[in-house]
Formats: sequence, structure tokens, C-alpha cells
Amino acid sequence: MAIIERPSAVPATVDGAAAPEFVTTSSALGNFRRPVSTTGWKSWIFTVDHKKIGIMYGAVSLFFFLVGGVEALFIRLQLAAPDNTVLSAGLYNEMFTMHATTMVFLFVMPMAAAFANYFLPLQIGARDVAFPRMNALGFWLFLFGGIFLNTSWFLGGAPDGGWFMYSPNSSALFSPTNGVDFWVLGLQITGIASLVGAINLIVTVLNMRAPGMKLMQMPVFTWMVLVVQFLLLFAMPVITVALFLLSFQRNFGATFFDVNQGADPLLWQHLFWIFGHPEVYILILPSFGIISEVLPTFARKPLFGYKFVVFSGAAIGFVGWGVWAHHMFASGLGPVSVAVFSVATMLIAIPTGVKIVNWTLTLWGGKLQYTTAMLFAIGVIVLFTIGGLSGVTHAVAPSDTQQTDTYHIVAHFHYVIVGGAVMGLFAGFYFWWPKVFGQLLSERLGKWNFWLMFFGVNLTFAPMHILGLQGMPRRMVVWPDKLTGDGFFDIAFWNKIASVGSFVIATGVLLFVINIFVTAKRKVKAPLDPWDARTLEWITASPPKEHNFDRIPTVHALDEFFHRKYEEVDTENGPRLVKVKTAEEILAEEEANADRHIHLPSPSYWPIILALGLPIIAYGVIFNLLLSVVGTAVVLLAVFGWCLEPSVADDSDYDPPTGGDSTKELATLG
Amino acid sequence: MDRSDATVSTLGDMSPTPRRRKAAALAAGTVLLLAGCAKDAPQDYFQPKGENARTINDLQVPVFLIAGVVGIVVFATLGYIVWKFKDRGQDIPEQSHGNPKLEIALTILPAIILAGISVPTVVTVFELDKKDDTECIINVTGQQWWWEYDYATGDCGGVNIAEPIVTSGELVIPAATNVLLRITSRDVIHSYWIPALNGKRDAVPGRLHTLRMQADQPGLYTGQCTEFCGLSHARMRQAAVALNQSDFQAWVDNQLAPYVAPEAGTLAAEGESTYIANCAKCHQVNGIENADGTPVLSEPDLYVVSGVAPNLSKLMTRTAIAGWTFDLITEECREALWNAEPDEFGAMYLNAVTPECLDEVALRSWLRNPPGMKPMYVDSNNLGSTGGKYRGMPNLNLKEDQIDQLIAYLLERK
Amino acid sequence: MFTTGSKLFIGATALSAVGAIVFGASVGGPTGMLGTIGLISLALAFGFLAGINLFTKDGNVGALVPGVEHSSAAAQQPAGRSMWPLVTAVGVGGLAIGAVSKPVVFKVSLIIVLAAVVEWMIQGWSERASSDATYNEGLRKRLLHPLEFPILASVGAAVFIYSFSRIMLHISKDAGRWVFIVIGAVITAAGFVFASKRGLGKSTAGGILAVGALALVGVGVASAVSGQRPIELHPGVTTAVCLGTATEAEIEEVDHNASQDVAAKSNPLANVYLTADESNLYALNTGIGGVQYKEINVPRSTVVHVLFHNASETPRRLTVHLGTFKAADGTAGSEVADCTTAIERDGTAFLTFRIDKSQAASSTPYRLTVPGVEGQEIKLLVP
Repeated sequence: MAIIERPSAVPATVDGAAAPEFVTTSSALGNFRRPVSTTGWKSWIFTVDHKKIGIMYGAVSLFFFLVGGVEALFIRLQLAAPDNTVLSAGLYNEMFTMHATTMVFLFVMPMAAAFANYFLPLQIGARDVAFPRMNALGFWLFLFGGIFLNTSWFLGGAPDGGWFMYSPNSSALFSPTNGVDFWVLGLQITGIASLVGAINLIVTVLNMRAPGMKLMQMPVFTWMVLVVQFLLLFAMPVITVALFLLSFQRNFGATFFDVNQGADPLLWQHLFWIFGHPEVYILILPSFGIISEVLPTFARKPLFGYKFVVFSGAAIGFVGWGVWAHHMFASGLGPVSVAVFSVATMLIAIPTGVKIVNWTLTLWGGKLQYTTAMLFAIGVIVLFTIGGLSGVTHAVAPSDTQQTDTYHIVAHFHYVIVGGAVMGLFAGFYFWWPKVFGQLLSERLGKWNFWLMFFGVNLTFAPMHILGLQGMPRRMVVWPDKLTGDGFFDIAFWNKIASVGSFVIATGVLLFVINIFVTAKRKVKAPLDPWDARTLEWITASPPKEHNFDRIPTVHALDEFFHRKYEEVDTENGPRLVKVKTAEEILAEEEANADRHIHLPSPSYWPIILALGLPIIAYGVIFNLLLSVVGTAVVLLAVFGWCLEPSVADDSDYDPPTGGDSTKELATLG
Repeated sequence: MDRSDATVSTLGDMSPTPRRRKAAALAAGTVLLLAGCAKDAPQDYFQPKGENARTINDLQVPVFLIAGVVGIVVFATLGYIVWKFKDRGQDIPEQSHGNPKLEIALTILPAIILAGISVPTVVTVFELDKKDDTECIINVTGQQWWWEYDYATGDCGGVNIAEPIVTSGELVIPAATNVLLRITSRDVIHSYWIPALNGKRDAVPGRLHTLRMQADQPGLYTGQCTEFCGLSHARMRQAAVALNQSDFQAWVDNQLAPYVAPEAGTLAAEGESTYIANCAKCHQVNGIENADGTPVLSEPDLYVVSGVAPNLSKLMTRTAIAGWTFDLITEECREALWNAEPDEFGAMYLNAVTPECLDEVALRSWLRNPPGMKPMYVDSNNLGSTGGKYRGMPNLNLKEDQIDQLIAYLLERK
Repeated sequence: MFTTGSKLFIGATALSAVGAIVFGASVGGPTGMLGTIGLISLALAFGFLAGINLFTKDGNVGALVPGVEHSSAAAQQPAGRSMWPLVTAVGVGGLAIGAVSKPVVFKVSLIIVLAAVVEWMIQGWSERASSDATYNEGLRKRLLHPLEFPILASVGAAVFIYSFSRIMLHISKDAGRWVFIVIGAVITAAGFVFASKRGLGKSTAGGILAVGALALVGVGVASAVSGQRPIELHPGVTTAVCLGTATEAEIEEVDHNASQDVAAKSNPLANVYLTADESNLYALNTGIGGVQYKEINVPRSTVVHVLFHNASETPRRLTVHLGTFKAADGTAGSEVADCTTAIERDGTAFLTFRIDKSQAASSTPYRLTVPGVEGQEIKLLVP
């Protein structure tokens, strides 16, 4: 709905009297001006700039990563010795529930959202995402949802039913504290964030690509993010329904999972895993996208079989919907279901295998530079392959009835998620840090960081294969001395090794945090194109200007930036690639031909206010419904404020953003 | 026992088909690489001790091997590439975008491997679901945090069970017999798992799931509840005990033997009245009578969420208490029992809690304060959600002399 | 801050609030109650109008600009078209009619009048905002769409759901299935046509949708007027019915139209069969083949399911005898039972029960019987 913000012509006047002041939006709706700060804390909390939102997503996710990591260390401390007493049984249950929930919902998902937010518009040559205020809303919902969930620690106890929250153990009868309520409502809030973000990014990719960029010329990272957003779009509603049922059962006496009323508890398992399995790909695909950018850059070669990688990503996104019951092979589904889901699960190994093969062949014949980002990317190939292969052993259903709910499974999905997703995100940190902050992270610290994490992951999770094969189940606060065995397969020994390994990983992560501070303090500016990179985000300044590109680039090829820098030149020894332009020259050219008229969305008060209302409603549901009424009032106020605020700030409200004769206007879509 | 020897001998002896021999040889080979001379944890599921676990093992060993080989090929290739194509100042390579033929070939190859795995997988799934060769039925019911076994009357592997037998913790089955467990739950979801005999099956309230069990030889096979079931999930353990037919007959006869009241005037006789006053509300001892000759009937459904408490009629025929977590016998006796040869095992088991072997420390401390040993929801201030019913055993605040009496009484329940 | 118009409404708010307090305190009884509620509502309405006046600066922003009476848009342009005077008039007429006929008409009219007043006021204000009519219209939309869209959408959805539910309640169960299929198919087909024919004019599409909506509402209203199909409520099985001590009429009432379908629960404890000649009632235990059991083991305090198959000509029910327990006052108590409805030949029925106490606690045995078939029973062993 386009609304014209100011009269298109000067109003007619009588007898040539002085032109009257006419009403502008901000004077007519004076209570609903838009914020205009471009510096200071206000410029962050009211921002709709996808880059600032991306950075905030990243910072908050990193914080939750540290929180989830500390929870993991507590778990490993407890399991380091038989019949250990570091944590009580109740606290241990809360700890592993929150470890998983935090890592999945408050670290990997939003960290992928951070990368997607920051780089997706840059990679497709857009000035911002399609719905900037919705984007801000998504971030604030994630932040407040995460805080809300974690306040449960101080308000009667964290959730204690495991991140899978199987019914009926999650009912009020068996989990009487408010922990599960916090979990349900907190995930509802972050779920809205994911849905909003998914719709936003899909629309952005489909509608806002730079001129000339076909879908099959998009960078692989953008492609993988697009697939993930479609997965989110269809998976989040399922978990939302499941969470609603659970929350109505706990808070309003519904009986969806109450066996004595004739319900079947397997309903929850189906609902949870129909969401839960696509969720696995939601976690891993962004990382696949990142390393598909990193590997070609440092191999100085395009991705081998771009189309195969893209289609296999889409295939994973598609087949991922048909395999959820492989989490339930021991649940008693009957042989027919088990056989079908077993075969379907093997099927999904094929597109995954395609990716591994293509990454390997991308490296073949390349000119490999082992930067930290490259090391992390190769680390992903190695660790994810291990995780994938142990995954195939779980796909064999009869074998899985032995393995499921043992540490063998814990080993498998940590290789996939830590080795695949998290290491991939770290590759992204080192690769894109100079783009975002204009500074190179220290490579020396970075290599320490990589090797500590790589060895740490193997030291922690490889022994878990042995623990699982020796019959040690998951989610046990203690394991008894009498079941340990001895010699090579001694459970006590391998538990200790795993605990040591977890601290090695922690040291690696700590080095990364130190690296951030050291780099920030050093204040050394990074070169414009430190990696000789290939995609559009490198065509602009580092960090990018608020409007991303002075001139929206026109795209002619996959790896557009590379092809602007390099051309094939015939020499005596046949054709050779020669650098014809530097990044600085390309940037200067872009700046010289800057667009005259740049649209940017104005900041807004309302996303953060709207987001603030939801946790208030949620606290109300748990403690006192009157509080919910207050929260609803805040939400309604924010919704109307959102609708009523002018779609742009007045020019008079603005400091002139840039000198020169180019004008900066604010978009009509807000 | 040497790991590889164990694998070879069980597989070799029990499974004469060439396919199994081959699998066994392969398994032995890999295992030899991994293992020195060591005793594995008792829940190692690569050491099947029954037909069903062996069926699974025969399937999973080749799968693990294939996965291992694929892994080695991938890592060797990757290692070679990382070494060979390191940047040594060579030219920027040709910007080739791939090779569709190679791509397709490398897509079809894993597809063929997986198709090869999927066929035996599907066959095995149906094989493990067979029910028509059942020779004995036992109802297995999970609750927080222990397993109850309820033996169906009728024929059980050639032994007639005249009256229902209710026991807990240790599942006693006839060896070399196809037993079918019918598994359900009284509260939350649990999962029954004896790794040496078969994979897991969830116990879901309102549903009845079946699981085949067969042990080749007499012996004790440990297990653990594997579906997260709340506070004391880690302390919900179980074992399957296989006995040969005559020993199983002896076990059944003993379980159904009539109640023997303690001799008047003994400590145990005082224990009986202490038991009736403190324990009998929830725990049944079959045949026990009040002073007026009326039977004492437990009514755990009034006090416990799950509606049951373990039957203590023959407590001393079991080797551990409280979700099979705390031993009733000394460590040496336990080690001897767990590692007994099949032909000696039956006699040892039927006589497990002898005066030499008895270790009453755990039992005493349990009677003193159960929630102190095993976390349970029994704090009377926090039972709002269950309408005052316990989940687990509360602290009965017994005095030391009452505990002495009770132990004397319970020691005669054998 | 406080414009003239808003002062008026603030005053009116205060006056009606004071009036409500005085009236409520002085006049008792139902009249006083009603009057007080009326006056409070009035105060709320005035408060709302005062808020709107404040917010829109009396609907006359230009009032603050000197000389605006000559230069303002309103001075230049004739007022645009407006339907609100008409709607207000209809509403006021409705108020009068409602006052003498049905209260519901009065309430609806009141809502119409209030809505029209708000719309009228904001339209009037926006038309004077500038000389650019498009801009003014945009301003009006910005203020009112956030109110109009959710309210109209809710009303629309409510009308749609109400009409549809009336139709479904009017037609028979079997026709219901077909109506569901047909309406679903029509909507899908229409969606397909709209999606594939991009050139379809706005008015054509709108016309088709309008016809569809009108048809639905029309049929819905007609169905609502002619009433629901008869829906009989059958009492559930009672202990008396299960034990065969109920009267013929009661039994007939329970079994009439009983469903012969079984929901697909795949895990019964046992299948119970009644043979064609009614000479044998036996159970097949789940998990063991071929053996006819006359007793089955049932774990205590556990929900179990039994599936009953009737091969007899006569409709039969399966009854589970759930024991006899002393009542709380120490009296003997009577036998508790549950059962299926009577099942025709070759029908099946599910019986779900849970036994909390051991068989020793009950003075009558737990068992499965078929009322009317003598001498046949299956013992339930509950240790």
C-alpha cells in the first residue's frame, strides 16, 4: 500500500497570497514521528538497517553460545567421574534441557540469521531486506524470547523435560515447576521471530536481486539461506501448534496428551519431529552455504558443480520432510512405518554425499591457501563426514534400536552440529569479519582457535561413539562404576577424555573471544579485498555504507566480483587468468557512478515496543493473567503505532546524511 | 575375556551359515584392531547373547564397515588434495564449473551402496517383528523409576505358571526360549533395553508394544531405561536373567511357594508387624495376614501416582533393589555371578543372596531415607500437582530398631 | 494541547462520570443498575471521542496556522463524497426501531452510529489536511485502516463461519460430506483459475467472489431460519446396561445407532471372540498365536484395550466386570462394570478399562462376559 507522504504539488492559493504551510505527515501525526538518530544507542535499538540488525543478532547469539557452552561444561564435569555429585539430578535435567535449547534456538539458528541478515542483501545487490521493520521485530523477539526463557533459572527452575519435551513427562503432573511453561512460551516468541524472518528473506531474495542476477547466479550461501527460510516457513507452524497444545494442557486444563482421557502420547512425538527433523537442516544448511563460499575463494576456483550443490541443498530441504519418524524407531510404530522411514532416511544421505564430493572436487586442482577460514571449512568437511557416516548406521532401523538414546547418537549429532554447523559459522566469522568490521581477525590466534576446536571436538565427541557402543545411555545424571568395563573400552576412561575435550573446545572458543578484543584494540585497517574474493558483497566498502552500494551493481555472471577482477589473456603458454583490475579500482568506479537517488527505510520505535509486549503476556500466562492484559495492551498499542507512523521521517527531522548533490530519500515501503 | 575371542566364538558356534561366518570374521578383524585384552562394559551391544541381538549385529557390523571404508576413502582423498594442491605459487587454476558425468557417477555410487544396505534392513525389520513363534509371554510395565514384570499364566517355555507372578527389576526368563515382552507404562514414557538380547522398545502409557527376547545361554544381562523419564531416569535399571528349564522351574516354584510367617518371638516376627504398620499400605507381600487372620492388601493406588509399588513377597530372590540400582550382594559375589559360566550360573543365581554374599548396607540406608539415595518427588510440600500422591518412596522416618526388625523380616522373603 | 472540541468532550466525559456516580449512589434496584451502566458507557464513549479529538487536533490542524481560513484546502475544494451521513441516519433510525422492538436491533444500531461518527469525523478532518485529495485520502486510510481491516475481517470471518456452520447443521450427515467435498473442490478450482488467468479483471474476480459469498450467506441464513437437523443424544453405557439389569427401553436407547466402526488402535491387550453358535467366548492374547485363552493377565493401574469380535447372529456386547468394593461407609457396595454397545454380527468394538486394585480386594471376580450368553466368561487375573 503506497501512501504518498506529501502533497505532490504546492497547494493552490487565493490571489497569489503567500504559500501556506501545509500539513506534513509528521505534523499531522505528531505523536508518531519516526526516530532519526544515526549515532548512539538509539541508532541501534530503533534501527531497521539489516547490517546493524545482523550485528546485533550475532552479538546476542554469541552471548547465548557462551551460556550454552558453560551449561555443557557443567554437564561434562558431572559426567567426568562415576556417581559424581557436581549437579543434583534435578539440576542436571535442567542443564541438559537448557544446553540443547540454547544451542539450537538461541545460538545456531539466530547466528545463521545474523549471517543471512547481514550478507544476503549484500550478496544479491540489494539496499536492505524487503520488510525492514519486520526484520527489526524478528531480532527483538529473539532477544526477548531468549531472555524470557533464561529467566526461568531464577523464577522457580528451568525446564527439565529435555529439548524434545516428550509428553506426558512434560505435563503439569510430572513437571510441576514453571520451567516447561517458560520453555513453551519462550519458544513461541522466538518462533515468531523465525517465521517473520523467513517470510522477509524469501521475499527479499525473490524480488530484490540486482539487475541481471538470475536465480542460478546467486551465491550458494544465498541459495542455502533461501532453502532454510522455506524450511522454517513450513516447520515453525508445526512446532507452534504442538507448543499451543502443550501450553493449553498445562495452563488451561486441556487433555491433548492425557492418556487417561484417551490421548496417545505419540502425537507429541510426531508433531515435534515433523518440526524437529527439518530443524536439523535449518541448523546445518547455512553452514553448508558459508563453506561453499569459503572453499572456492581459497581454492581460487569456482565451486565444483554449482548446480548440483544447489539442487542437492533443495533436495535435502525436500526429503527432510519425509524422515521424521527415524527419531522414533524405538517408539513402537510398527514394522511398516519403520521400514519406510528407514529407507527414506538412507535416501537423504545421497544429496548430502553429493555436497561432500563437490567440496572435495572444488579443492582438487586448486591453489589452496590455508587461512583460518579455509581451515575451518576443511574441518567441516572432515567432521561432517564422520557425523554423516555414523548417521547412516542410525538409518538402519534395527541397528538404531540398539543405538538410539545412547551416547552414540550424542556423538553423531554433535559431529554434525558442532563439527558441521558451528565450525562452518566460525569459518564465516573469519572470512567475513573484515567485511563487517573493516579489520582482519588475527590469523595467528585464529589458527590456535581452529586447532584447539578441531582437536577438542574430536577429543570430546569421538569417545562418545565408544561410550554409546558400550551401552551408555543419554540423559543420565550418573553412570555407575559397576557397568564400566575395563581396558580399551573402559567407560570411565573415555568419559574423562570427553570431559577434558570439552574444556579444550572451551579454550578454543575463549581464544576467539580474545581475538575479537585484540583485533578491535589493534585498530589496523584491513585491505579492501583481503581474500581475493568472488561474490558481490566484496564490491563495496568495508564496512559497507549504510546504503550498501553507491551504485546497484549489474550482474553478468556467477562470481561477478571475480570476473570483474580477472580476465583470460592469451599468452605463449596458452590462455592465462590475469588480474586486470584491483578491488580499489572497481570500488572507485562504482563510487564515481553513484546512483543519484537512494531509497532507505527510516528507523522505527515500534518493533522493539511490540516485541516487548510478548514476554509480558507470557509472564502473565505463567504468573497472573492480569499481566497478560497489560502485555496485550502494549502489543496493540505497538501495532497501531506501527500502522500509524509515517512511512518516512520528514526531511526536516534529518541531519543531511551526505554532502554533495546526491539526495537520499526514504523508501515508501516501511 | 578377550573381546575378539568372544565375538568369534559366539558367532561361530551359534550361526553356522556362511554369511554369518563372513560377518563374524570381518567383525573379529575390525575388533582386533581396536581392542587389546580387555573386558567390555556389560552393555556393549556388539556382543549379542541372543538370537534377536545377533540378527541386529549381523546387520550393523557390515554397515559400520562400509561406513568406515567410505570414511577412509574420503579422508585419504582429502588428505592427498590438501597436501598436493597447497598454494606453492602456481597459476590461478582454470575456472571450471564441474563435470556433469563425474557428478552423476558420484551420485549414483552412494545410491547403489545405500540400496544395498536398505534391502537387508527392511528384511530385518520384519524379522524382528515376528510374533508367531512366541513360547512365553511376560507383561513388562514401566513406572517412575522401576520396572514391574507380570508373568502371564500358562505355559512358559515348557514350564507351567499356575498363578500370576509379579516381580520387579530382574526379568527371569527361560534360556533358549522365544519370550515376548508386552511393554506398557503407567505414567511417562520409558524404554526397555537389554543390549545383549535385543534393541529398545518404548513403554508408552495407553499403548502395548511387543519386544522379542531370547537368550542363548543362562546368564545375567544388564540394561537401563533409555527414554528420559524424569528425575531418577539414571537410576532406573534392569537386568534379564536367563535360566535353563529346570532352574526356571525351580524359580517359578519358589515364587509361587506359600507365605511363611516368621517364627513367633523372633526379631523377624516383630518385623512383620512393623511391616504391616509401615510398608503394607503400598507394598504387597503375598499371603501375609493381619492378627485377626484377614489378608493384608496393599492399596498403592491411594498413595502413589503410578498406582503400584514393588511386590516384596520374594525380595531376597533379587540381587538389587530400588530400580535395580543398589546391590543386595557384595561386590565380589556380584562379579562372580555376572561372570559365571552358563552351566554354573543357574545354581548361583537361585542362591544369590546367601548369608556370605548378603550386603545389607544399601538396604539399611534405603529404609533410613530413600529419597536421599535416589531423588524422587516425595516432598509433601510439593505434591500439589499430583493431589498429594508420591512419585517414588517417601522417607518413613523409621527408627533404627524398626529398621533392624524390618531387615530381619525382609531377609526371610526368599 | 487541549483543543476546543476536546474540551467539550472532556467536559461531557466528566459530567457523565459524575452523573453515573450520583445516579448509582442515589437510585437503587435494577433500574439504578441499568442507569449506572448506561451512564458509564456514555462516559467511556465520550472519553474515546475526547481522545480522538485530542489526537486529531480537533480535526482541524490548520486552525493553528494564521490565515488558513482562506488558504486551506477546505476553502478551495468542495467536500468529497461521503456515505457516513447516510449510514448515521440508518443507524439513528435503527435506534428508534430497536427501542420499541428488539434490543438486538438497538445494540447493532448503536454500534453503527458510533462507527459512523468516528469514520465521519476522521474523513472530515483528513479532507482539510491539504489541497491534495490523494494525499488526504492516504492520510485517512493510514489512520482508519488499522481499525477497519481487523474489525471487518473478523466480522467477515464470523459471518462466513456462522453461515457455513448453519448449512452443515441443517443438512444430513451424509450430505455434509458431499457439501464439504464440493465446496472445497469449488474453492480449489476457483483458486486455480484465478492463479492461471492473470488477465482476469479485478471486477470479474470480485464479482465471482461476491456471488460466492452472497450464495453462502444466503443459504446460511435460509438454513438458520429453517433450523438444525434433529440431533439425538444417546446416553452412554451404564453399569445396569452392562450387567443386563437395565430395562429394554434403556438398552435400546444406548444401542440405537451405535457405531460399528473401530478406531485404528493397533495395540490391544487381547482380541476376544464370540463364536457364531455362542458356545464359546475366548481370547487371543496379543503376541501368541493360536491358543484360545479363558483367562488373561492384566497389569494393575494400567490403561488396557480389548477388542471384541462378534460372530453371533444376535447383537452382543462385551462387559467387563470391574469388581465389588466396600463403600466408604462400610456397606457392601455394588458391582462396577463397563461394556461396549451391542455389536452386530461380524462387528468389532473396543473396550478400554483400567483396574487399580488386586483381585483379592474385590468380593466378585474380575472377568469379561457377554450378557445373554450363559456359562461363558474370560477371567481377568490381576495380581
